[in-house]
Amino acid sequence: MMQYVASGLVSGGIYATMAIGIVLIYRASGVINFAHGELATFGTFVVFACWSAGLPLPLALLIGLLVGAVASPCIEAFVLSGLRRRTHLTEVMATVALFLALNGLTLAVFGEETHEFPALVTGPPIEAFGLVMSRQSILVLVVVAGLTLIMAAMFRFTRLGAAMRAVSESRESAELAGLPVRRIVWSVWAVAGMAGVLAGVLIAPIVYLNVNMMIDVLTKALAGAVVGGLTSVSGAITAGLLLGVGESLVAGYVSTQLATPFVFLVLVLALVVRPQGLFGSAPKVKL
Amino acid sequence: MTLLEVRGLSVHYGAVQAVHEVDFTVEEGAVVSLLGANGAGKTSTIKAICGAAPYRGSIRFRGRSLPQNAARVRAAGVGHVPEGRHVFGGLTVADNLRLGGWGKRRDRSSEIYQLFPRLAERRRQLAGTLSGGEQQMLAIGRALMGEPDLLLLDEPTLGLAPVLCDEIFDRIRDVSAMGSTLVLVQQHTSRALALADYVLVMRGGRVIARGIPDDFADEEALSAAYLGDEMPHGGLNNLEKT
Repeated sequence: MMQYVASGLVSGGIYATMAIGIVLIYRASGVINFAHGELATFGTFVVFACWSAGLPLPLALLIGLLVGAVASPCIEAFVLSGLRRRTHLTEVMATVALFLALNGLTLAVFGEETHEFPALVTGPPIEAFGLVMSRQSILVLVVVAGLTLIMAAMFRFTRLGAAMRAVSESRESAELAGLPVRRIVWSVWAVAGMAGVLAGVLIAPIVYLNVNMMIDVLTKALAGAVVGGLTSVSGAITAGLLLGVGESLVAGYVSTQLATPFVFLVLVLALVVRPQGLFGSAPKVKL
Repeated sequence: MTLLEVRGLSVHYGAVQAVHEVDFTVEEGAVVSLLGANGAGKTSTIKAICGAAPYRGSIRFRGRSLPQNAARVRAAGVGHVPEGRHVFGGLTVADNLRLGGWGKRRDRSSEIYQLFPRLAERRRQLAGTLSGGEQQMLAIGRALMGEPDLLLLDEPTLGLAPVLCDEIFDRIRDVSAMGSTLVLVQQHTSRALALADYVLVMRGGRVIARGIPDDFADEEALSAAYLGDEMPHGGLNNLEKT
């Protein structure tokens, strides 16, 4: 059983990394960015292309992260901000359209072949406490733990983190306080874009790199973000990990075919029973 | 020396014109009170100055045109304490102040805590859990963190108990005594008149009277200006009307 839990934590860690980006963007702009996964795929292909061209993997990774950090805010700056009638529906339509456009762009630029992506760490699997785990899987867990700590530290101790929380609480108040709201929102999108590319680079050695690699991850990350409360980064991380573990246990003990439906049944259940999610708060109604 | 010069200021919200061709100047170190009833156009005037509302006309600060962008106006040296306080309830007092100092190298929080000792006691408390008076102190402190040359205070005592109003006005007096230039928007006149060097009365989006506080000592005349009645004998008749 512990082996299933461990492998579930690895896939859940990747969902959580993606869900962090979804939640950050939702908090900053009130938008669910359906293009988040495709941007991650594009960035991961950039890493692969740089590495294939002979660059060292860390440098290729840095370039991929930069692509995520620049391309992601462009969605807010040039697409969402440009919507003449900015409603939830037009925002959703725009990000869904971008999802399809980016998918097509990645296909056009990098082709439809599936590639073996280099693992960030190599070597034989590690055996401990009766568990066998690949080094890449252990790296995923380390990265998720590190990302959680970095996010917590950023929000708690830095002025930018406080500004991100302020903008997420009330954009109007932030503007009245004279904060550079657009720059802060773009910073949030940049951090989310980097987290997405990081998730892509972590999962690519496990599932192989291909154009549709992140579609399954994005939908499960969305489920994690919603189950976690949509506005809570810690909720997204916790829910992402729990969904990964649950999915792995269902695959191991019930049926692999029921693993994915399990994730979305949990999502539906959460929406019915606790729509504010694990860590979200119920909307306040003034009487 | 003239710090702020407003000429032909008009503010529209769609088809509704909230401010009509307003002119006034603010001298360095002065306290200017902007008086008027609800809907007179005071807040719209303040929002235009601080870059939070689009406008037509000219607003010059230290001789330079102010951008129509709140963050840039703040960086130029204009602080704003908005109506309704707008503190960040989910952030601590310390974080709210920290955001007030955005872009500044010097951390003024110890000076702010000296000015408002109650904030020092509650620095780790979430701003949303503070009383109305404390939130107002925080809003003023946050604006002062940006080291403004001009501070715009919009209804700083709105909704507060009289004893808290006195305390807030004492602190505003302290800020003024430190040499700050203030524009104070108020519906309630007595405290504003006591603090002001110069007074503007607005009604229907226009400045309808202006002068030094002594010119408004006649309460009947001030009421007439507020309510749009005929000017009583004497009173405001000697004041410039626009």
